[in-house]
Amino acid sequence: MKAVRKVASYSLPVFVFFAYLFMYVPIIVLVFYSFNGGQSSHQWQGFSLIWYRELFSSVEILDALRNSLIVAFSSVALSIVMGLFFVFYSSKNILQKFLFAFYGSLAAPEVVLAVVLLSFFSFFSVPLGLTTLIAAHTLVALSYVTPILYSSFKNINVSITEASLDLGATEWQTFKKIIVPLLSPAIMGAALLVFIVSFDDFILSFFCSGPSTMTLPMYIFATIRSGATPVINALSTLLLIMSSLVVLVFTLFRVRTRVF
Amino acid sequence: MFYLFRKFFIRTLIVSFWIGVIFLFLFFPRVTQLLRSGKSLTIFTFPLLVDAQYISQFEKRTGAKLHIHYYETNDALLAKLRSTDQHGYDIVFPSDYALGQLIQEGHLQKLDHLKLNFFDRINPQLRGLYSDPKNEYSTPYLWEVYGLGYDKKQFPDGPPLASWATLFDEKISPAHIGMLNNVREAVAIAAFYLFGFAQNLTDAQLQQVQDILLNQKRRVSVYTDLRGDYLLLSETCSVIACPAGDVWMAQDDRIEFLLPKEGSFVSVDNICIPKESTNTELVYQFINFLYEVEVLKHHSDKYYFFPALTLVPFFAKGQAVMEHTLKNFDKFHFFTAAASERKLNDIWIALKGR
Amino acid sequence: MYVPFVFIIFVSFLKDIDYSVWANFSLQNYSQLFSSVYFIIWGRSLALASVTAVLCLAIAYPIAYFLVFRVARLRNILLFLLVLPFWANFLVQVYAWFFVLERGGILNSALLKIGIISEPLRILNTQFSVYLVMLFCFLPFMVMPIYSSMEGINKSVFEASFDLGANRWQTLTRVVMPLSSSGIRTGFFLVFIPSFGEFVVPLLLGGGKNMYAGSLISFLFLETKSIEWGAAFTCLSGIVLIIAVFVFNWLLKKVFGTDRG
Repeated sequence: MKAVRKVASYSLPVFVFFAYLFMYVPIIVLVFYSFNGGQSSHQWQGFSLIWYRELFSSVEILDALRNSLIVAFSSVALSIVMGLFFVFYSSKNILQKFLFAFYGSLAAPEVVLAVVLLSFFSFFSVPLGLTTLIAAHTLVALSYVTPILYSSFKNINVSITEASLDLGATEWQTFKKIIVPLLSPAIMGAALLVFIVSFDDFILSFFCSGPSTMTLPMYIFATIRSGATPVINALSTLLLIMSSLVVLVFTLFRVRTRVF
Repeated sequence: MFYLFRKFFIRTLIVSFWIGVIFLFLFFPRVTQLLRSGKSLTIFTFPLLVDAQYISQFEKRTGAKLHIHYYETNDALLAKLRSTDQHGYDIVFPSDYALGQLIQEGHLQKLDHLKLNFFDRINPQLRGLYSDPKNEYSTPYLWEVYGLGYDKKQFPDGPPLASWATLFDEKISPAHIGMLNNVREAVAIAAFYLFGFAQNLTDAQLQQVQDILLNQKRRVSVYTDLRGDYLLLSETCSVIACPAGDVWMAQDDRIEFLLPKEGSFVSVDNICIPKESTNTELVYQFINFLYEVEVLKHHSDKYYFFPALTLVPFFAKGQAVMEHTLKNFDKFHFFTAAASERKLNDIWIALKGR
Repeated sequence: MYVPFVFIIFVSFLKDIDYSVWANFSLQNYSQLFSSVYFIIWGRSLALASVTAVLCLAIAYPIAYFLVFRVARLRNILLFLLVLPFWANFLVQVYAWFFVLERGGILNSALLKIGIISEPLRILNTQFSVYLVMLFCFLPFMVMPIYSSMEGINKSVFEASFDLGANRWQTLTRVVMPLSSSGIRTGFFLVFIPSFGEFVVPLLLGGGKNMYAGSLISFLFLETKSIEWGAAFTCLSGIVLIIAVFVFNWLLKKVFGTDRG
């Protein structure tokens, strides 16, 4: 009985360990092959940094990266601002019913959203470009941001806002000085989430981008389909390192977010 | 009463203001495009047609900036051009059948042949293709022939039969084959195998095509238009239908290209100018640049496509195939639509759906 | 300052329905969609989505349980590690699976070396690889909500349950699961809904051999001129999805109980 207990108590950690390993297999492979010296993507040919050098000299990748960053930052900014306004004004009950509309873009598979937006844009002859992409990403981002902000908003103790209003602050001042700082963990969490979603997003970009926009995931997709060199591995490794630094910094400030 | 009305009025004003702002935001690119000065070109091409690093020479020569965007299939090209009304692209590289559709839908502008300094050096057999008989809208750039690529390691007793039967006939077809992932091409090849070259297939014929493709599906390992060399070398497939360039590009003796003896298909990639492009001077300069002998030779050597100019020599093995193809040009066909688009799509959905 | 942004959402949804009615053959599009091949495609997508979601649930639940109840000190690090792959580009990770699963890839080389198999397995371009990579992609989405809802469970329920005479298994099924069931349902749909419309993974990893709902939508919109067809199919797929969601929601409530149960 004791032995069974022991096995049982070990099996869970082991299981989790293997699950994590499963999650990390591609990343390990990725980083490993980014240092591959040879052209072939699946044979080890000696350690080398040539792909990193090529990465920095490739205009297309840098362009795509720049576009991705612009779109991501813009959609984060726009969606947070819009989300805050919406959350604030939804204290008037009429708009609470509209909250469900925001869940819509989350509830639909991304392909559906992408084609709906595409037909919407082409119906109104909106020129596809960076702005349409930002608009599309903002829409998706809103459906992530609003629930997060709203649930955090609800958790704010009403008496604090009441106290502030009693003490003579206007609604706007209350908003700026009290509510926003109280919401800041949720804002940061939502911003991070939206940033990744937008930066990584492929399907929306695939459908809604215009002639002058190529985002990073689109570039990667194109090169995967037609023959990729380990430059992509190098790119991903760098992105991974940068993003883990960001997340590390974020968690080191001990900001706790409740995402769902 | 009046107060309510005013409140409603103000609210609608605010709402329409915001809608106006949003629409302005969305239409902003059109404004910037109009204001942009002309010293740049936007190229929309297949990744293996234009070498981005090489053509930076053009940038140095003329001081213009080149933006290159990629598509992987002709269908993607068509979709993009249709949905954006060609705004923003100065040059596109469609294959012959995409060219036909683009002309029909009015997306291209006519070429001014006086500005092209190479046209008389283009191989006469490639001029006046079915999709653009007078070359009013396009000039052929690079072309390729389709056939079978195979992995010598999987066939120790000698190469498979140099015929489309290797892919379709279940008695001799090997277990893991690769097929083209494009409805037009797949149907054309299947129909060619069954009936010889034919257009406007009857419904009964289309049913036969569908049946044989479904039959083939059991043996297919991958459907793809790209990276034939990778599929063969990684032993994912033993035989695949692909353009010759895919096989030669690997420069690996382990894989070989076979031209089916009953004939095959060629595809010509052309250069065209979308209707809305306004950088005409620069565009023609660029086109002439692409057709300079060294430039064309570089691209043709790098990507293993046949060049359209008669004077550009090609590497030995390829040269033999190219000359053979040109000599027997009547045995080679283009991927014209074998039936209406609706029927083709039905076949494709049925094929992939089951 | 009121929320006209809502307008956009409503209009975008409106457009969807409008479109298929707009072109003159409104009902015609819909009627031809009732042929068997489309049902097969929907069935395949539903199978993909449900299997992925169920597998994710089966694997994510123990992970979440482990993280919430078993580790205290390492928890933040493990959470961080769980979220980190989220930051690596999705497409590139899928691409990396190529290296692992192909015939000359890592998995096959390892298995060959150990001697379990004598010839490399064909894993890539099969349904198996599609499901495997789908599982890989969506696992974090399942873990996070379950973790959140478990975190809110008061640890004293364990004591209470043991005091009342339940063994560990009973505690798990009768106490912990119902308490975390809203998280289970959230996670399930967070995985189920996107998987239904997924087409990139089947395309890259399945050899492009089978069409799923997402691939068909993409095909109809990008490669055909008849957008009305695509719109009609999209609407119907949406309806199929909504029905499936309701069915699964009911099922999950039955199996795992609700928060009040």
